[in-house]
Amino acid sequence: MEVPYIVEPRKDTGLFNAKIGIWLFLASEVMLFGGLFSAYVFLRIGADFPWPERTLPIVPGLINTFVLIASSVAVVMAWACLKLRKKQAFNLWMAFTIVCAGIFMGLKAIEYNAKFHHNAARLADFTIIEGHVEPGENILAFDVHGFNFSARRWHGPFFEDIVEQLSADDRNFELTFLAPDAAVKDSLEVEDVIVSGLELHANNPLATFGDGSLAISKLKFLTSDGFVDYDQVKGVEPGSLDPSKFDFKLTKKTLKALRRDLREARGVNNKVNAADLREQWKTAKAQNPNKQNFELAGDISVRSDKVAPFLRVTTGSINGFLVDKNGNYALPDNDLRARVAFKPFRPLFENNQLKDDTRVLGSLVENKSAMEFHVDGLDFRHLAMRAEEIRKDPMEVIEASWVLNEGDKYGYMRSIWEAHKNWLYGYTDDSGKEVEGHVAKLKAKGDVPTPRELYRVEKQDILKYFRGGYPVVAAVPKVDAPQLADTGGPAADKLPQPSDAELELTFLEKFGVVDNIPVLGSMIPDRHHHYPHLTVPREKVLHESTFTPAWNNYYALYFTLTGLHGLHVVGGALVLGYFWLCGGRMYRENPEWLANRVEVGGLFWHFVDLVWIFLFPILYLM
Amino acid sequence: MADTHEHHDPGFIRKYIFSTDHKTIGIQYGLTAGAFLLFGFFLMMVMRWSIAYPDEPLAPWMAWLFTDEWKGQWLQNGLVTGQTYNMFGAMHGTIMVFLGVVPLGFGAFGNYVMPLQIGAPDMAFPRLNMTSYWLYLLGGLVMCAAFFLPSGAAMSGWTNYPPLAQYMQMEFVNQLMTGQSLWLIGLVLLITSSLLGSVNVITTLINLRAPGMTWMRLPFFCWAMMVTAFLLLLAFPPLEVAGLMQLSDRLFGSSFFTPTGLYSKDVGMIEAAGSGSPLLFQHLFWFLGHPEVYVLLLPAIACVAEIIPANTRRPLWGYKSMVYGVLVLGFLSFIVWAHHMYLTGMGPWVSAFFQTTTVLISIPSVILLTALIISLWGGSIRFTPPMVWACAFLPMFGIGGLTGLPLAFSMLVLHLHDTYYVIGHFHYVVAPGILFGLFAGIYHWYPKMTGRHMSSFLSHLHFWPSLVCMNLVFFPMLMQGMAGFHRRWFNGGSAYLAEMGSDNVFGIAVREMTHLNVVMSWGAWIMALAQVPFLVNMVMSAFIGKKVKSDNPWDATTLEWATPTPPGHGNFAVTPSVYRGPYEYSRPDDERDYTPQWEEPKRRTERKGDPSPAKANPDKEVSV
Repeated sequence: MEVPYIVEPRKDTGLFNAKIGIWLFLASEVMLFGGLFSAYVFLRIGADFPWPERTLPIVPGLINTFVLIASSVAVVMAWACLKLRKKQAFNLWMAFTIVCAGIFMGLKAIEYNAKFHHNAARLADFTIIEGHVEPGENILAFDVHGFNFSARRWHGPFFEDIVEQLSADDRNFELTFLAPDAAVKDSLEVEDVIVSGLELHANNPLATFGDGSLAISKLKFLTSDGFVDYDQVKGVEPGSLDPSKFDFKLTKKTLKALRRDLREARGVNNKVNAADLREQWKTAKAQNPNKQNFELAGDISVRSDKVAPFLRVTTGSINGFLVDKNGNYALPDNDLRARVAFKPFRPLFENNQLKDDTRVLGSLVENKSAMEFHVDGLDFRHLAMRAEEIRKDPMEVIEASWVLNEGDKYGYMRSIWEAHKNWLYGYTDDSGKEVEGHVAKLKAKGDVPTPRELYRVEKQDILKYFRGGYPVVAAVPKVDAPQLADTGGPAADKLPQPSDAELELTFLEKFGVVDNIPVLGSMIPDRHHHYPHLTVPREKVLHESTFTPAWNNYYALYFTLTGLHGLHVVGGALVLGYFWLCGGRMYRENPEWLANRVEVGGLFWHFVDLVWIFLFPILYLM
Repeated sequence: MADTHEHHDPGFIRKYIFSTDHKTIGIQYGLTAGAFLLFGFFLMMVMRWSIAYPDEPLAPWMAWLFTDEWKGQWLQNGLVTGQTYNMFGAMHGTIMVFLGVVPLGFGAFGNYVMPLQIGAPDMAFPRLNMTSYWLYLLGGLVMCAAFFLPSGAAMSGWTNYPPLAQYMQMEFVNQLMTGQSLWLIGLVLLITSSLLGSVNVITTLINLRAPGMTWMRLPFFCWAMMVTAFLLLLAFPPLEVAGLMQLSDRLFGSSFFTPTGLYSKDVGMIEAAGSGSPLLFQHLFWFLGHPEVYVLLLPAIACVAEIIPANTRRPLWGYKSMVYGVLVLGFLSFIVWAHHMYLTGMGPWVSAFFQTTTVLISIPSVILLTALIISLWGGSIRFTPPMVWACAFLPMFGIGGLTGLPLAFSMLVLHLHDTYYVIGHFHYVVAPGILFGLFAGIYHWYPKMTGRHMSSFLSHLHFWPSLVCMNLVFFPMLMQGMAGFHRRWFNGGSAYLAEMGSDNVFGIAVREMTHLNVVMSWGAWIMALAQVPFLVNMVMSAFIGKKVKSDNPWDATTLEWATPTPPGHGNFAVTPSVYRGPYEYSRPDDERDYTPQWEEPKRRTERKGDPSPAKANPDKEVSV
């Protein structure tokens, strides 16, 4: 018997199977997005930071809304054409639907891409700097004689770079594995990283010695008894290993063998100790039949003198190595940061401790680690919120903020802020005429300014103020110009002065979609340098990220919601595309069959559209 | 066997592995779930060693299963470490709930029995059905594969609460290859699987019922499956959301569940955006978590509701009340979730609301249980193997349910929260309750699946030790829990012992109760032994069991017994028609003590004026 009601509806329910199926599926989808919308409400109500309102470009979002609505109409038309048995018209409408999906995803991709390349930093006083960060300029230079890798907080990129730089020096170095006796299981991961780091460099002749390996002159293990040789780990008589047979080269193979030996030794010791404990328990229980276990436990522990002859030297972890000669080692902090997946690690400069807790044994020679911003957003809202919480006047706290004082090496930020205040509160222009401020204008209408208007300087305003669109209070550079030139920052009078045409916002920028699209680099000029420069040392940064889920919960929700929705768009387009391109067989067999399938696909498509109708206001407008 | 395949056969692989036949898929679900249940049981046996004998190396009869290297990493001188205990505990819960009981109850029984009972040739979407099984297996394997990773499997409880779960195993470079992340990925796969399964079950129930199978002629089993499917369909997605959000927190550094100013001993002040809410995760988790309890329970009640009428030769008492009861139960189960969160500081108003709904939900639960108990009244009970299990289900589930009542009240939870009392309560529901119901189901439908009976002797050898051991394991938990034993003590409380005569009242209570740990552990280990007769019975009976004499060996009334034994592809030789309700036993107008649903009435005119004793009078229903 075949499964009935695949094409024809059942008489009493009036439904064919797939139609029930899709409605149930959509019910489940409602709960899925319902869960996310609930999370949105929950997190927005509970947010302890100013929720970014209307921060996304509205026009592309609006276009996308209409595109999706159009596609929903088109899919209904396609279905109707099938019902009328107009296959050609069906094809056209379906093609139109798919194209709409393409446009939607294209706009989404541009929007995402802009976010991925736009940075922000929250400073210690909750000032938020937005802009583009110069890559690769930031360096930590150390006079190194060794590294200590934390077993718990390890990140691969450091090791890869270290290996690269050390081996490029073409020097032999003594490799000493510092391994405490306590078995730290996590450190097996450390070995994995070493292995993968080596693997990475195996194909790069610059990174290794001639034979693709790093020579290790001595391999030692640090245990609680001091340094021991490898043969003790192997569990053989000291000195019985022929050293010539073990050319200790830091290769993947060596490390794998090493790891295997270490694991084996640990297993053997565990077994020996457990056997000793069992033996003692057996005796103790026989001698004290009336006692409970916990009364005996205190007297039983591994008898180290008894088990010692059977134990191997275990080294649970590789914690680091010593380099025999000192050398400068530079950490390109910024590059590494981009590759580190997880944020809770940041450089703690005291103790030479890096953000993955790796400790550099040596002294810090130079610290140029800083974020070089091209500022296109200056946001004091979070700071103002915190100030109000402690009943202080936000404007006063802003005046005292780091970014307007010590941090403002070139005086750009101060001049932008003064111009912003002029716009807010009014000023006297060159001809001595009083210009009414924004606040006063609002007051006349019985309105008050929003926190956004008060405490945030937008991108287009920065551009405007920065080139003197508003009369600014004379911004005196804190440092003399010649010195500035030495430190790499542009002198105030040597600022690139873009022409009006250059500053005209491009089409996409007007919509707020992009500042700079790398893939379209030739079409849209790199405009970063039109924005004011600001150097932010790492220790001033409390939290920094690109505009990705890590930046704050608004963006986390934005990416999760639109990402899931995008996946639905792609999935729906694939299914509808399949009906469009491969529906011929179904159509020839039974046109109603294809029509029913398209109906089901169309229902899903409407749902996807509907989700967007909710997403657009809550993410773009509210 | 592979060599028996014939030309018109779909071939061994299509027939037994990538099969789209609901019966094969049901059996695949059952066997896989059984394997996972055994694995979950084993994890618990190791944990129970640590609880009973915290200072003794793991017994050789369990330890031999692990390699020396594994023991080197996860045991300390043979002792189970807290970390290993947590890993086993988290995975025990996960495996038992998500990979064991739900797939066995809903996946196996729902798949195998439900289409037969409604007279359908197969599920509505056979290929989705197959996909559902394979996604389940994949999800389960992904979760369990993490045991072999350096990180180990997930180790922050089956509830996976952040921020504990969030920062667990965070030190690993490749975050995708950690137990915690794989747990979340496996969870998403499982939820996708159950989504496909539940869409399939509901569609099948709506559209593929045989002619005459009206809603009120559906066996209660099918109603329970329908409600279960709706719970899975609607309650699981929010957990999927929570899983994806936690995955995003782990992989992309977002702060959905990370509050501002979180400090960890290992990491220091957490540098993340902050402003997240651990409470949000709990809400999303328990929005699934509580309906999940009924997803576990309803298939077991469903099996028992079929077995009791067949073995008492009486109609199910209060069939309609049970149907409406189960529908109300399904609805209410969506609005009780936060009774798991009384101590999270939600506030008294929220607690009061959920306390009220929680008390309300006991009404339909009691209706179901009471109807089943009354169904026994006045019956001529045949104590067949399935009936023995079904009878034990009633009081065991009763204890589980009644011990849950105190936990509905937020005041009492102040004392009982996170104690062994909670563990005892829900294990009474799940282990001697639900599992007994499912065992009953296996014994009941085994003859239909294989054409052979299971051994009655081995069944009793399975049943009695299991019943005794279940109570040995779980009753002392209630006592310890009321004394304040915490559910996550990996060493059974040995860290809290006080000398006799000390002022430390709690320490003395622990000292006085600690010997129960040993009792419970031995109960668990002997119970493991008691499962051997079952495994032997299940495997051997397929080959040497007593052959069934007819297609309807229990003289039952529902449609699955109208099929050939075992049912072939397409199930029924001819599409059956349904003429009456599902439980028409001992009708006065039938000389037999059962009147199957599919038998055409012989004397239709005479029966018109006949006051039928059957509760669900088929003639009242509009036939469709």
